[in-house]
Amino acid sequence: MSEKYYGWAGTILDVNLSDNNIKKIPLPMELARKYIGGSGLMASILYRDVGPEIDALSDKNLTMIAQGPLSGTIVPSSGRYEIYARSPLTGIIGRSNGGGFFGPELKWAGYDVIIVRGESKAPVYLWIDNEEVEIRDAGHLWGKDTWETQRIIREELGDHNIQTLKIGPAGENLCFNSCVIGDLSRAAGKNSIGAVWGAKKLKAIAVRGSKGVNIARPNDLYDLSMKLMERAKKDPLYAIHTSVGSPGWVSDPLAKKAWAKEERLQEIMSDKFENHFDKNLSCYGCPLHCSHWYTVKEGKYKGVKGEGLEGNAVIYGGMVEKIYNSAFICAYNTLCNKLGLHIDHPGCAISWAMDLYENGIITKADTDGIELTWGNEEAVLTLTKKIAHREGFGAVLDGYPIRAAEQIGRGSDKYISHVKGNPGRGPGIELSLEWTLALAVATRGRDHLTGAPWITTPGYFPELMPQKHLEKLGRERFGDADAIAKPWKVSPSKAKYVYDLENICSICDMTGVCKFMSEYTLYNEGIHLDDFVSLLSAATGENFTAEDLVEAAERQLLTERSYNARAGLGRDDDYPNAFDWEEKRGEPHPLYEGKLPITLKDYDAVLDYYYEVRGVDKESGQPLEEKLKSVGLEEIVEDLKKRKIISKKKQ
Amino acid sequence: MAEKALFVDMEKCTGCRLCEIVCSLQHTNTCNPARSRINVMKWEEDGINVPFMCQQCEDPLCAQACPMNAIEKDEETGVIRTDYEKCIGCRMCIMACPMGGTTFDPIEKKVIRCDLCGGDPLCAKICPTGAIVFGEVDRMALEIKRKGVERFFIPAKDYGRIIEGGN
Repeated sequence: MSEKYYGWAGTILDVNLSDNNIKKIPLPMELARKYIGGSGLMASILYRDVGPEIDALSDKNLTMIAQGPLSGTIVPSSGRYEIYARSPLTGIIGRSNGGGFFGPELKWAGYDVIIVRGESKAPVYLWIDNEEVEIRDAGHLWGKDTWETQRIIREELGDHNIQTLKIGPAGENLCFNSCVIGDLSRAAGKNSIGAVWGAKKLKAIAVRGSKGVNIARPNDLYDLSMKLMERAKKDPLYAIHTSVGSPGWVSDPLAKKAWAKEERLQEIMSDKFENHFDKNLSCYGCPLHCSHWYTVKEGKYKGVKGEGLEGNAVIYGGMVEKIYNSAFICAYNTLCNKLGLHIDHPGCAISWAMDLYENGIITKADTDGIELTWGNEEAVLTLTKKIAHREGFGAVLDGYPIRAAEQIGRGSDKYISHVKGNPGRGPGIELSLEWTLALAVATRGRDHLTGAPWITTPGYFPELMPQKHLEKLGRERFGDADAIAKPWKVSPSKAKYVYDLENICSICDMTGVCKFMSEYTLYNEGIHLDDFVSLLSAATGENFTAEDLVEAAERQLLTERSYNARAGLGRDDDYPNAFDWEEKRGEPHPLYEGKLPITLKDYDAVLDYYYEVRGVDKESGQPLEEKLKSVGLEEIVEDLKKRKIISKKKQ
Repeated sequence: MAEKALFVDMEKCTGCRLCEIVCSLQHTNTCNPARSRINVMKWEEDGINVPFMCQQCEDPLCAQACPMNAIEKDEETGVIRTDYEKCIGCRMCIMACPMGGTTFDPIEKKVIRCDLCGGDPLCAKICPTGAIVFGEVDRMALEIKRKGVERFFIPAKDYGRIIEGGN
């Protein structure tokens, strides 16, 4: 722990697996101030070091892991880590975020960012023990699931307090569905970064830190943190987090809203998990303890145990395949965590295949003889394993959405749903205009966690968030009572609403704080922008303002948009595929038929408003030169000019 | 004054480690669980977390093991204190404690144990679920007895709810 750093650890660890070169670079304070940390720093490094010509699975791609200046401090819920790489799935920015205890341990070991370059010939893992950094053989770990991997590493290094990030068989097999797992179930799921680790033969990163983190104003940080923890209790959503966790505010209301007619959904509402849930668990430093330890006590799945069952497990392990069995969902969750699979992806791909099977587009001849009928639990578990091992029909499904649809052909692309190649199947774009917009403009592809509102979606929580309250929030925040309360009203305040949510999510990802503790889900009493200003200033001793933080968020998101522009993306890629389907094909999109109360023209209009506030050229969808310069991204301007991509504001 | 002590209910512990972090902040002005007097022991694959700290024994083995007589139980506060002027850093106290109540600060290189924050332990204050309680020993013992009896002899009662209601 270098004396001059407060909040930050002060060192970037740069490891090259091709030549085993390990460098430690002091974190320059001007970079720390400008990019804050976490996603901010890594977006900038990825832009600089991994151009569009680089194959995501080659040794030229790199993977990074970071936490932020609030990570591992007393700030509530400051346990997140963030990972970056060029995504093998989408070819654009690849980023994902996970909780647990790895991020704080990395901070206590003295590192803000780990960069892993090159590729090893044989499987290895990285062992970080404060200053000591070692690349160790992982031949005996290759093929092991994520739980076994953590267990073996702790045993062989003789320390139970070691925290690990690792890939399972899915990452080893370069699976597009793969992810990186922290602890037992703290997945950084999106964008297939597990496959980048697999290509590098990087099985795991193990870390143990005892250097801690300096706090510039310890008493202030203590007082602020205690105040925020107390205040959060007053939020209407607090009790849902602490009792049932995200199934209570993700899958429960979605079930009511999106599929109200399906009575069997009652079987997988959060109260149906009570028999499996033994006790509350939490990530580092979190008073919300939204996780549970679960054990299935009877029936076919007796003996299944695990933790971290999120609302998305209920959606993708149940709802989309029409499986109405809470014990099965526990089994699916544990299986994905052990195999190192992103919990959403197999569910997306398999439910898509079920759709194709029902419509006669594929038959048993395609599915390795599996009867792919709705609700077939055995089929889902078998195919999930086949996906992780890229076996038979599993290898086809692994390519969902675009690659799989191309491989099968026969009009199967009609049934896929994605943005920028990142899949989805569950509810989203039909919930409200802000949902549609946020899912579509997200830099990492269809994304429900970087700007899509949850709690304030009209009709979502009619009792906790009545219409009158939504009107009040709209008036207070945007001077427009309709901004939040009217789900499909096209207006500039709608775009501003998404812009604000994106910024607060970015600030969470840069500082290392969980979005669930922020105003993103505790919209009334969570950690707000002003609180982040106070927390960061007390932790680091640097004087941040609200404007500084919003500018840093803009910088991160514009860097990512520039990264995508450099890879050839533009305005066309900011549409959910349902919207322009009709226009292009002359027929409604089968998944969204009749569900979207607005037209393509309305969406065009709100996208224009969003571009205005985000500083993006309306025609090309690429960042404006003036905007990039105004947030200090001159180097990106130069690079984009060289590549003839940049846009000047039209007069 | 009635003697007070820290009581842990492992069923309520979510494993968040806020107790460790507030302890290190209080004692070192840094956030560093390696310097915390309380540590959450975990068996992750069984979902078990147990916060543990010095139990401030009535007849402390650490004090008996100390070759320099540097460890003493303060009669007034009940806290077991190390006189660092006398301490030679042999770490015998760590080995003598059958429960691991003493730990080691890797930065200052000295043995450390809970000092009850001078009478208002912050771990109990910050614990979001009431898994750590600073209470009068005799009353807490009865409370725990009540819980035990309820669990084993009155199965119809939901003891968890009764205890929470009583807090």
